[in-house]
Amino acid sequence: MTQTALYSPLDSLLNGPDQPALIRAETLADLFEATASRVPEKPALAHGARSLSYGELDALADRVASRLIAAGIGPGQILGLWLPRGIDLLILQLGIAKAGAAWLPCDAEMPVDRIQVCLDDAEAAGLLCSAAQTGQLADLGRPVLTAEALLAPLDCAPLRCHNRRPTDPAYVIYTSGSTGKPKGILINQGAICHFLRSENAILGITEDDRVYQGFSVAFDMSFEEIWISYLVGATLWIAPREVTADPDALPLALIEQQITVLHAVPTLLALFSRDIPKLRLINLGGEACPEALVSRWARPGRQVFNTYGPTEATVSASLAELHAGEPVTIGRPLPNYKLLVIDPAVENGLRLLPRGETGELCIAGPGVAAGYLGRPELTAEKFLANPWAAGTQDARLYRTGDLARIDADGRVQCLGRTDDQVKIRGFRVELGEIEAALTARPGVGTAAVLLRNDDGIERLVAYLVADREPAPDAASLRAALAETLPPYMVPVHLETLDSMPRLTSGKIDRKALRARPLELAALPPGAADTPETPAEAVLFAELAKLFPGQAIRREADFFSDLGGHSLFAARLASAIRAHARFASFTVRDVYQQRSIGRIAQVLGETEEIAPPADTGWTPPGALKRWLCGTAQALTVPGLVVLRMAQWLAPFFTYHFFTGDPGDSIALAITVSVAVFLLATALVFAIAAAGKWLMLGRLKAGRYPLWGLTYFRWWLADRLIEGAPVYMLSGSPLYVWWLRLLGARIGDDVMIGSVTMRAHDLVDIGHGVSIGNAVNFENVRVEHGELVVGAIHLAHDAHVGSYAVLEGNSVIGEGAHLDGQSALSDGMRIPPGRTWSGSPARETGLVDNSSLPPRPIVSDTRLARENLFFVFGVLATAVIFFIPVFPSFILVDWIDDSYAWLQSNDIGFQLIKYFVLAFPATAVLIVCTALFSAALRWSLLPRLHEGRWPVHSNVYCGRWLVNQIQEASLNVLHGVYATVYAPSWYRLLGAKVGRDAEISTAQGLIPDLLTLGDETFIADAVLLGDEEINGGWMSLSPTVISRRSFVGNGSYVPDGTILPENVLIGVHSRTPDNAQMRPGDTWLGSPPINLPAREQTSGFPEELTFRPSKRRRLGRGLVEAFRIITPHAAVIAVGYTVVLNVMPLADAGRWGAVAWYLNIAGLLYGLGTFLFVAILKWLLIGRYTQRSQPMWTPFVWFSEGITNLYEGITVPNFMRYLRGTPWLPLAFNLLGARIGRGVYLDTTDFTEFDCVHIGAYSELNALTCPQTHLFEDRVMKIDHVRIGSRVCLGPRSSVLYSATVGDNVRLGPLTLVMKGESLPANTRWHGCPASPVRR
Amino acid sequence: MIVVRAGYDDIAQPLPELLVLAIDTPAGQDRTTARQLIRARLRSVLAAHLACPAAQVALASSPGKGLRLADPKHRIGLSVSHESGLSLAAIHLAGPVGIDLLAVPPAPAWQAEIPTLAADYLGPDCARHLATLPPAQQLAAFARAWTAREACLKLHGEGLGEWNDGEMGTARQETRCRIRPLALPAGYVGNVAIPA
Repeated sequence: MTQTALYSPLDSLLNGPDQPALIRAETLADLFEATASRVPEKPALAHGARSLSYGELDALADRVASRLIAAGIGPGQILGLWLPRGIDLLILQLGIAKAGAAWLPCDAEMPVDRIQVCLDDAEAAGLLCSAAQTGQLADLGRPVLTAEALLAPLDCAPLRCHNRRPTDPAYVIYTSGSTGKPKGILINQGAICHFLRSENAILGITEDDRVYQGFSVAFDMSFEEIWISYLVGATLWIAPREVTADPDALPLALIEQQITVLHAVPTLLALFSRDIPKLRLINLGGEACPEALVSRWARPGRQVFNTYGPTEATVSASLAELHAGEPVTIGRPLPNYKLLVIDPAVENGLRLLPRGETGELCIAGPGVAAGYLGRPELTAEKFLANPWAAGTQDARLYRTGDLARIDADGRVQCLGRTDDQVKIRGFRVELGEIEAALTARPGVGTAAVLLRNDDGIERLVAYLVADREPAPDAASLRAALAETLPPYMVPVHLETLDSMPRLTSGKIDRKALRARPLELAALPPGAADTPETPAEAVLFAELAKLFPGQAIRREADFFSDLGGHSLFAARLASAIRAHARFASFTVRDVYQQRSIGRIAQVLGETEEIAPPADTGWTPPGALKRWLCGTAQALTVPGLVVLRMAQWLAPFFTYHFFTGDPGDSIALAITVSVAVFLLATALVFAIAAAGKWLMLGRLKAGRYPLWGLTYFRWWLADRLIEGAPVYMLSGSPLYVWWLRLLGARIGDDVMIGSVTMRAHDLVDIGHGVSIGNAVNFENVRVEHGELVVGAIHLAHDAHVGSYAVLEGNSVIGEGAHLDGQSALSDGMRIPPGRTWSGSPARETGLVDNSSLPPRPIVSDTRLARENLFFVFGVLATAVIFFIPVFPSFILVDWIDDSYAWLQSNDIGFQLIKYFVLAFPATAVLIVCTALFSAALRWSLLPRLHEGRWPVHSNVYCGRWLVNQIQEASLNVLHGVYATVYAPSWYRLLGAKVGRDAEISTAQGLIPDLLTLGDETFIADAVLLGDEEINGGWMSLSPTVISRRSFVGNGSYVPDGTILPENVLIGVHSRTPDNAQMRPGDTWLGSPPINLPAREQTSGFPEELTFRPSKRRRLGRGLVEAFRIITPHAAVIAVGYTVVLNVMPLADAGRWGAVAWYLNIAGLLYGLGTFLFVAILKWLLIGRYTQRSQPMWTPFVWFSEGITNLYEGITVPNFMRYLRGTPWLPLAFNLLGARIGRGVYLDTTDFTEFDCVHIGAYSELNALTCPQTHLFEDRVMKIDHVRIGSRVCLGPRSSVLYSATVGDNVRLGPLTLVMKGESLPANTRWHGCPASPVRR
Repeated sequence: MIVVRAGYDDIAQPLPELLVLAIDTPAGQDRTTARQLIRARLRSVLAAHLACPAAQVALASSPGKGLRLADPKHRIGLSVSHESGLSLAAIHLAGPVGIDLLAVPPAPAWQAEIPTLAADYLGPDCARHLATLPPAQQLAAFARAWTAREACLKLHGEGLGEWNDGEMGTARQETRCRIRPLALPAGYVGNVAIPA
């Protein structure tokens, strides 16, 4: 290759600064030793706790060198270097240099086979590694020296190498070649030493710098880190391996280590999450640098460099300082280097291109390697004599294979790879190989292949001259090529020519070929289909916009034929939805159908049913509201008194018959119990009579909120709510009661417990089963109207526990609605199907194959059962009323024992009885607990896993257990969520582990429940209730394993086995056992597995899982107070009232007695409200956002107030305000911020100050602004902001930190996640909430 | 650490835990070449990692499912994304991975569709966030959010759906995967997702 060329200043040749002083006769070892003798005390290396000064490093490397020399190693020899990151690796590397030899670096995790290949190719004299690695090297076939042996102390002065020369090899780096055999590049001492000086002449790293050592020594950018530092005496910090791989930890470590210089690939830097303030120099290299990275990292006081260079030219050859806002280039040559851009068509001779033209970048200068080890042909191809050489240093040039041009400012822009140089598009493609394959085909005479770039599209194009007629067609040629060549080597386009253009030399004139316009085949006529249906018309039109110029055919595949991808599919679906008729089209339709014809077919089948958001409704006026409110206010005292009567009447009766010396306590108790039963029966009677008198039969439809019908419905609903139906649940009495209220219920229907809002509109067929805590919310308020609808359950339908049904819904014959599912207005489950989730969706056909046929039951059995249930209801009511009498006796005894306790002052009496009530209540609670335990363990059989007919003694037993639980909890409600709860459940037969927290769990079967250590059951969890279906009851054990957590309002079906440390989110349903793994997090209905959960940390275990004895005692005391207080209040008020009306009764003034009892009842109701309000403001003040671990007084007080609020204020007062305009006012007194005209059918608020509700919003039954959650035993409180005119469907919940925009509508059983923000005027449903589309 | 390697034929062995390969590909709609290129590239990198001939590295894919190593005993996760001119492949040695790439033209015809597309597929939070940005930035921000979501979906082997279809919110996307943005040539935006 002896070509001559003209040189002009405008040619593409750049000279780096001419600095001959940088070219010295030296070796790497000389360079290091000079620094070591200059600054022996300076720290050279630091790695973890270990660090070495230059002097120490020098001495250790001398040991290595001495042993190597002793082993016969010297200049010209190559040693493999294979060690893990660390100081030893660098000592050994330096030791090799000092011995005058060269190293062949192998990455620590390089497979041994590959090391072997490289060592063989380089004819290495041995391999240096650590002792731990030698086990893998049995078959290496060459000497292996270990670091441990090399570094051992020497007995004598170290041997030194005195004949090191700059022409000796310094290192060999292997890169993988396209042929599969790695190729070694050998760099000599002079070249690398010159590079270090040359690059640092620009970089300016000094001995004051601290440099990060992150690159593997197998990558030559490590020279910039290690050897420039050795050159100047800087300190290297070697990061631990785990830090180098962690883009979060690395910047932190660099800050801590006060690193000032960072060499890195741009990708690594891009991952850094934070700035490193002390960093004054960043040197990027190894790949293209994005501009955005520069603007992020460059700043005054910090230089950012971009270096470029192949290993063949010794690390780097050019360098650019980068500035924000300027284009990224590879800059100018380093001192003494030269960069040239030549015509890539070298077969026509080397031609320097005019400046600005794009060609192949070449490098000349002292860094250009001698060539590839043992590859003379390849070396001859890539390393050429430099025709533009100015001296000996630039006599040779290296062709990089990169495309580049030199811009007007004399900076080099790198533009990718040259085309005829096998490496294209990241692949090495031999054009000649393709040409050979083509000419091997029959009919092809000559062939030339080019990589063309037309209109920005790069293609492999083949030009052919046929040697026979007819010429072979392009498609079959491509198919033939594809059989022998890798796909990327098959030309995209083949063109047949009459003759091949040739140069005078006879060579193919590629330039002429390149200049030919590309003849791309036009679309054959008739290729596109014409739309035939309206759906196709819309689809084709939208496709034409997405794929302009492409033929739209019905059989075309959206993805593989049209080239669509997900964004195209999304754009298509959105564009189609913009046509109102097709608003229900989804992107899944595109994915599922794929072909245009099938997509059109599905499109044609979809119908528009999405209702527009109703933003135009007018809230009812204030006058109407307050008129209704006044009427409601007038009825509230009566309602409160009705409740009070249930316990004041027997209270009064007892004391009426006692107090005189000759009175019989037995008689008093008997009469009192009779009065209690009578009062209870009366409440049921009044509720039913009131319903029919006030409301009559309610019809489906819409009625104005706060109107007359609304008021009548509201009053009936309050009366019905006042009846203690818990006594009836699960029994036929319950069905009778619901029928009495107007529900149509068929034969053999089993109902656990259900709330119905319009009984007249509930129609239940024969054989239906309904689980526990089901809500038939067929009356709701929406947009200023009472929306009343029918619910129809056909024969043998099944509704799982905790399901919510809105009006206007139907469950077909034999169909199932799973637990924790929501069937909203308008939904119909077809016969025999199972629907599940919120909103409910079909999950398949009902599978009753495992269930035996419904057992036949005789009429006599039914009659006997009915008797049993009637007797059972009465008995439990009486039995759990009895424990009140010992407490009466105790109070009376104390009262009578101390004369000074007598006073007529009502205030004194109240306080006195309140104090006396504490021991009395303790007696009441202990007696109740003992009663239930005694019953539980004496009369009732233990329940076992299995299946029984619902008409069986086992069912009756199960029912009785439940009755006892429910009845006792009427007294023991306060033990929920206290330290006493586990003991209570153990007493009932459950297995409860250490430090379990149980809030209000429902439906559980103690015999079959296991709670592991440190489990947490949050509020209102339905935990493992029995499954009733098709006339059968099945019972399965439920297990909550250690440290698992079940969130508020969740549903855990019986038979669930929760593995350890599982989290079930709020309002969620547990998945099938097989799906759960320890540590899982599941949320929603249907449940979704979340791969990670938010970790609450930072609080000591002492405040979460491992409280001290003192804290346990403190919490125990606060909770004991909170359990007792509600009853103490009742007893105090009861005594005071009874004492004061007794003289009137004695005088026979029964009218006055009734009047005073009324007043007292009302005052009591108000009193419970004021009591909790005062306590809340005194103990808590205003609730604000906070995180508080469980074992702290704040949490105990907060939970205590919540419990008192739920235990006395809600049942005696607040619940009568549901659905009145007074309830928001009451909440505002407790600290909430509720706007005017808000409709609240819920009292389920806890951290009142954190509740914000805008004007005219509507919160339906069982909705809850969930202002706190316990997470990892830390109570987190934050605000819930609900905008104005928002409508929350029944049992929907908004978690803390969430915001619901104005005019949003939430469907039933909808869960707004914490921190979520729902935009105004949108409709949402589901658990978790998602926008309503259809 | 994510390493995007473009144009270089050396991939450090051993592979980092998460490696992202970039390949220049022919511009245009036809992805056949790009697919072939990226597969060949994946094969050669994996061959070196698995220490077996590239020809024996069998890759499997089927419509709707991502690319994977045919041998089910490997835990190595693969994910590929193509755009006109650039293809990316992610190799995650420790498990599944999702990658997505989008070419962002300077001002596309469909800029006006962004509010709808964001609301339909990226959720209301994202839509509102985009609306607050100056128009010049919306496109890139949309592309970032889009590729993040796609990467997360690909990681979990899920298809794209409208935001309402039981879809997780943005906050929850973060709990489902760890998203790493990629530094790519101008005009391209990409994200890679690995399990959180």
